[in-house]
Amino acid sequence: MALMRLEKIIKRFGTGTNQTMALNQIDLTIEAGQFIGLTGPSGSGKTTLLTIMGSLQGPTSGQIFFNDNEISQLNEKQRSKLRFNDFGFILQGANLVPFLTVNEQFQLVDRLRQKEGPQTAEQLLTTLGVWEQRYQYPASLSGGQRQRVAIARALYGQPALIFADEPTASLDSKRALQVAQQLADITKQTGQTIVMVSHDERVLAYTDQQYMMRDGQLT
Amino acid sequence: MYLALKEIKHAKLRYSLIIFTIFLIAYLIYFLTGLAYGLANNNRSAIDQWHAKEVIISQYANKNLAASELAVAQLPPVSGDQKDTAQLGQMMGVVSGTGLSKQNTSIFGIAFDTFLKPELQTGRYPQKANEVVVDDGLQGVKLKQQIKLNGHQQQYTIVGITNNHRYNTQPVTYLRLTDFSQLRYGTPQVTRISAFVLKGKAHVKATNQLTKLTISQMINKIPGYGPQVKTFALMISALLVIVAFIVGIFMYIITIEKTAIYGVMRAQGISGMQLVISLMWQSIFLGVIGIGLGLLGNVLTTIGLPAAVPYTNNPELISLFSGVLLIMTVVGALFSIWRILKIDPLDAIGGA
Repeated sequence: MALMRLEKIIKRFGTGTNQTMALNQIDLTIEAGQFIGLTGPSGSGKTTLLTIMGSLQGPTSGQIFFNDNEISQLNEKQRSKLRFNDFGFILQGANLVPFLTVNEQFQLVDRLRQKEGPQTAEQLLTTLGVWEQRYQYPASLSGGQRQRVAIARALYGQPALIFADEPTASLDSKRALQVAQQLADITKQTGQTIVMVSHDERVLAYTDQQYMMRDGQLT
Repeated sequence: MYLALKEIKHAKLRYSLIIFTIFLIAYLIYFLTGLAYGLANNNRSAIDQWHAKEVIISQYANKNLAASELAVAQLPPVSGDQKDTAQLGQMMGVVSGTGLSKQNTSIFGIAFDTFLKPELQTGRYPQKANEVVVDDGLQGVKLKQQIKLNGHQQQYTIVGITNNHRYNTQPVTYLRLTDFSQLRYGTPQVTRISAFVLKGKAHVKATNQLTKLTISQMINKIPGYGPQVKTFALMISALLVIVAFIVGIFMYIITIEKTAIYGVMRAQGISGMQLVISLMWQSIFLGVIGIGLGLLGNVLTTIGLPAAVPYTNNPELISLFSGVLLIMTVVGALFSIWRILKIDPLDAIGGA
């Protein structure tokens, strides 16, 4: 059974002569435990596709199935619940809550879920090498440390599907490759699925499968 | 609540400024309330202790006790218990005496066996002519002291002292009705009085020569009393509305600053409602702390103010205004709700 299935996804922005076709008839099937890379030139629709898969916005037409359940027609409340329980996000910039320490980022999730995740924050932060920084606020972490905490936060609660938008863009080469290796290891160790948008070919080399996007179409 | 507290803890200076603003407004409201109630009390404290229902005054007095003059013979028959009725003479006066500076006073002529007799702090009630009871609001008065009223040669002996018995802001001097009549009309025969006071079930049918006023109506007609109470009420109401706007503006600016991080939280599946609840908790915390500090400031002010300042705390009014202040603080934060609910999680991704 496919973890996620996209069928004839179309996304248009604007109206009339200003209309832009961001995604054009996208069909994609994602299996569990895969590390998928999505690349392509700027404006090709990568991030739009990622946000539609991540239920951050809906498609203009087409269907999306997650665990065989149609999710493209969910309302915002249902999408919010889906994102909280089943999806994780690793974003380009700092996607940590600035007024919470590293440890508190995880406590917040526990409080909202009213239970602890299968992997403890300590396990995830230790694996990603930032356990020592658990009492620090995001502002006092280096860019690499912040990104690794963000990855740990996205993995916390073991969501089935993790969306990563240029997760290594703000890191130096050495750290970028380390992060890519850690993401690849996670899919192998936990069976979680990662869809990553990246321009960096060295980072994409760690993925199991790569898709190129051009003019709103997958090639 | 977790998010609310953590954010306040992290941005102490920013939230301290909001708390300080709420504290200043709360303190100002309590201070004005204390002054307003103190002044109002100074106008009426002598009347309040009667626990009376109505007064009958001359219809030509324009509902003003000070201008009323009634002929005792003019009084209509009273139905009900005669003990619930009393005659009152009232005039403004000046107290003077050896060792006493001239001071304004409100003179009440009463029969000391009626319910109009004041509660004494010390001494006794007058038993013979030219004995008086005075309020300790008159500076320097003491028992057995000789005083003069309105420059007359007659000496009066202070035999009793009251506390906080004022009318029209002046401390009250109580005389027997015969002495009052002698002072005002030059004869001890009580033929004219200012008003007839009724309490309980006593009832008098008003005639076209007389006006019947409730105690509340009579107090509201004390010159200056109504405008003074209304002015303070308006100032306090304006401050209560202003606090909503100040908190609203602060919270709105903070919310705008946090749009990006709220976008990230929405992207991570934290619902808009959870963010709104956090905002509400924040405003409640800020309000409770600010109001608490305002109350503390009020207590310190009450202790530190000189006794001459008419400042009186009314627990019911303070509780009411504290509650309204807290509600207005939360109402102020409500301005930001639509902004939070409008935040698009896509903002976290940078558009798309």
